[in-house]
Amino acid sequence: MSSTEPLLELRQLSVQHAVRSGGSTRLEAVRELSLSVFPGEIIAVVGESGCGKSSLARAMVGLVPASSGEIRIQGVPVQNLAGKARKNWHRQTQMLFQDPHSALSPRRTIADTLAEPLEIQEKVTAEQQKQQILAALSEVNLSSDILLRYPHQLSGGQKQRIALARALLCKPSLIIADEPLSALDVSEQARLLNLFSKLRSDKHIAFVLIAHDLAAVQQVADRVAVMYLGQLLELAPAARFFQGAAHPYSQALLKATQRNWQPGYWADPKEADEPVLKGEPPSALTPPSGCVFHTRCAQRLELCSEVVPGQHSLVQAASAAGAHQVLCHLYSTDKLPLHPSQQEKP
Amino acid sequence: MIQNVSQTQSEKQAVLSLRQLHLSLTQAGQEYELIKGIDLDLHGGEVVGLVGESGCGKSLTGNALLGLLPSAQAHVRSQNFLLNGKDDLRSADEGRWRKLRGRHLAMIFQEPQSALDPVFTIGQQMLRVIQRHSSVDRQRARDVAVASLADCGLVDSQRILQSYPHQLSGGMRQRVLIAMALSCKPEVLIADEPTSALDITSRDQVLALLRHAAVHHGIAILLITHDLAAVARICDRVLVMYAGRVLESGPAVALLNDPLHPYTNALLQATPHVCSSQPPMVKPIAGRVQALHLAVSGCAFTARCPRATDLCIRQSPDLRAGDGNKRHVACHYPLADFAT
Repeated sequence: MSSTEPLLELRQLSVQHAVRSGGSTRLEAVRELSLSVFPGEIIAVVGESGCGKSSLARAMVGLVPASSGEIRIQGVPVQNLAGKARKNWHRQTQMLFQDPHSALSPRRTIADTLAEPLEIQEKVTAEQQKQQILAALSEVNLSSDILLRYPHQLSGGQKQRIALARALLCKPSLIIADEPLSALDVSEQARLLNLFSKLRSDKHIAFVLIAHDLAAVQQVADRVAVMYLGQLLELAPAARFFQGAAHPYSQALLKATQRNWQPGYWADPKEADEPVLKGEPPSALTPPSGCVFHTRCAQRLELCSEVVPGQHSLVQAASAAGAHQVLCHLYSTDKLPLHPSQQEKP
Repeated sequence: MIQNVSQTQSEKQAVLSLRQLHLSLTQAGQEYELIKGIDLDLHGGEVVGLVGESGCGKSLTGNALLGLLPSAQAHVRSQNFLLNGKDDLRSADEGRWRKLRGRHLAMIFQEPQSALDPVFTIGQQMLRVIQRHSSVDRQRARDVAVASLADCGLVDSQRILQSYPHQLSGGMRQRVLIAMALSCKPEVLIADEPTSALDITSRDQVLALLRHAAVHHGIAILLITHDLAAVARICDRVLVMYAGRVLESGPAVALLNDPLHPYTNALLQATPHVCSSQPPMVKPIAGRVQALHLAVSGCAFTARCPRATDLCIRQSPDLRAGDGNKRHVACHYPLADFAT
C-alpha cells in the first residue's frame, strides 16, 4: 500500500435519489461520506442491501451526480474536469457490474465487445488492436477461441472475466467492482479473487470491491469500509479489521459470515437457529435519530438514540491508509451508561 | 456398539426415501441421461445438504422430488420412491402430485421475487395456499398465516399480509415464502439455493429459520446450494454431486473436516474462510464442469482431478460405503482410507 496522493478522494459526499413515497421525496443513499482510494490498493466496501454501496460506486464513476460534497480525481475536483481530462477520468476509472450478462451486448461477438473501448479511447492500427485484445484475454486467463462467440454461449464466470478484460483494455488505474462475485459459482469466485490480487501486484491497479461476503473480502482487501444507511460506520486496515472489528455492526457482519466454520473446525449446528441480527435495516427515507444503527445494536447506550456519534480514531496512524476509524459512542473517551434495557436486573 | 448405533439410525423411518433415481431428457429424438442413479433418504428433523457447482444436476434432482419436471420430455425412473414409508410416488400422476405438493412436500426457490405473484397481496397468496390444503374458513386461515409469519420472525404480520411482494425486501420475501411453505405443515421442504440472492444478514436469518423449522417442527429439509459455509452452518448430512452422480456423502462434520473425494476437497479449497490472521488464497478448480448430457465411460471428474490415472478414464468408480456405513465415496483414490 502506498501513502502517496489518493487516486480518488471523496469529501463529505452525499448522493440523493428522487423518490415518491409518503411525504418525503428525497432518499439520501450516501450521507456525508469521506473516503480516499490510494494507488494499487484493494478497498472493500461491505454492508447489507440498501446501505448505499451501489450508489457510492456509481457516484465514483460519475454515473450518478453528487448532491453535495466533492469527488476529487488525483487532487482535482471532478466538476473542474473538462475535455481531455474528463475523458481521462472515465478511461482510468472502470466499472464491473454484478450481472455480467447484462453488462455485455447480446448482439456483439466478444471480439467486437473488446474492440469498442479501443476504438473510442485511442487511434490504433488493426494489428495493434488485435495484439492488445489478445494480451487482455491472456491477462484474464481466457483463450482466443472465445473471440468469435456471443455472450449467451459463455458461462457466468467467463462473462465476468470478459467484462474485466474490457475494463483492462482502457488501462485503468482504478476498477470499481460492484458485487462482481454474487452471481458466480464458488470456483469462479476464487478465480476472480485471484485475478484481482494479481492485477493489483502486477499492474498496480486499485480496486473498490463492493461485496457482502466478508470471507471473500478477506482474501484480497487491504482495507475494509463498513457502510450502513449511507454512512461509513468503520474504516480499518484489513488485518486489524479481521483481528478485531470495533463497531458492533461490523462484529455482527463477521459473525453472520461464517458461524460454525473455521478450517478444520466445525461446531454442532443445533445451536445455530438464532440469527445474528434480527429484523431489517430501517428505511433510508426515515433514518433513525442519533446513531443510525441503534435500533438493531446489542450494545447500545442510553444516548445512542439521541446523539449522533462522532468519528473516533483507534490507532495513531502515520498515513491515511493506516487509519482505523469508527463511528460509535462506545469508543468515546468518556464513560457512558448502558441503555436501561441492557442493564442487569438487580 | 458402533454397529448398534448405525443399526438404529438406518431403522429409523425415512420421511422420503429414494433409490436409484435416473432422469433422462429427450430432445430431437435423442435421449440424454442427466441424473445417473442417486440414493437419498430424508429424515424428520434433519437438514441434508445437496452440494455442487452450477450444472451438476442438483436442481433437477430437487425438481424431480416434487414431480415438477415436464413428463412429456423428462423420464424419471427409480427403484424406490417412498413418502412416509408407504406412499409409492413412482406412479403418481399430475392430480396426485398436486395434492402432495404444498401439503406434504414443499419447495422454496432461489429468487423469491419470481415465486410470488406481483398483483396479489401476501395475505391473498398465503390464504389461498392454506385454504387449498385444509378446509378452514377465512378467519382461521388468517390465524394460521399470522402464526406462521410470527414463527418465521415476521412479527409485523398485519402489515406484511397487506403488502405486495415489491414492498418487501428480498430477505423478507424469502422468509414469507418459508412461512407460506410451513403453514401447511409439510413433512419435507426442498430449499433450492434459498440464500444465493440474499445479502449476508438475510442469509443468516434464512438459514437460522430453516434450522429452526427442522429442529422444532421435525421437518426434513433438503438444502440445495453451492455455498459450503451455509452447509457448515445448518446441515447434519451432505451429498456432493457432480455430473449427475453423488461423489461423496456423509455426516457434515466428517465430510467438511476430512473430505474423502478430491472434488469435495477442491470445493473446500475454493471456498474462503474468515480468519483472524491472513487466510491462504482460495484455489479455483481447474477446467469447467462436465456437461450433464455427455456420456463418460470413467469418472466424470477425471479431467479436473489432480489424482486421476488411466483407471479413472476407463472405469467409473462405484459409491462405496465405509465408516460404519455412515460415509460413502465414489473414487478409486480417496484422500484417506476409510474402514468398511
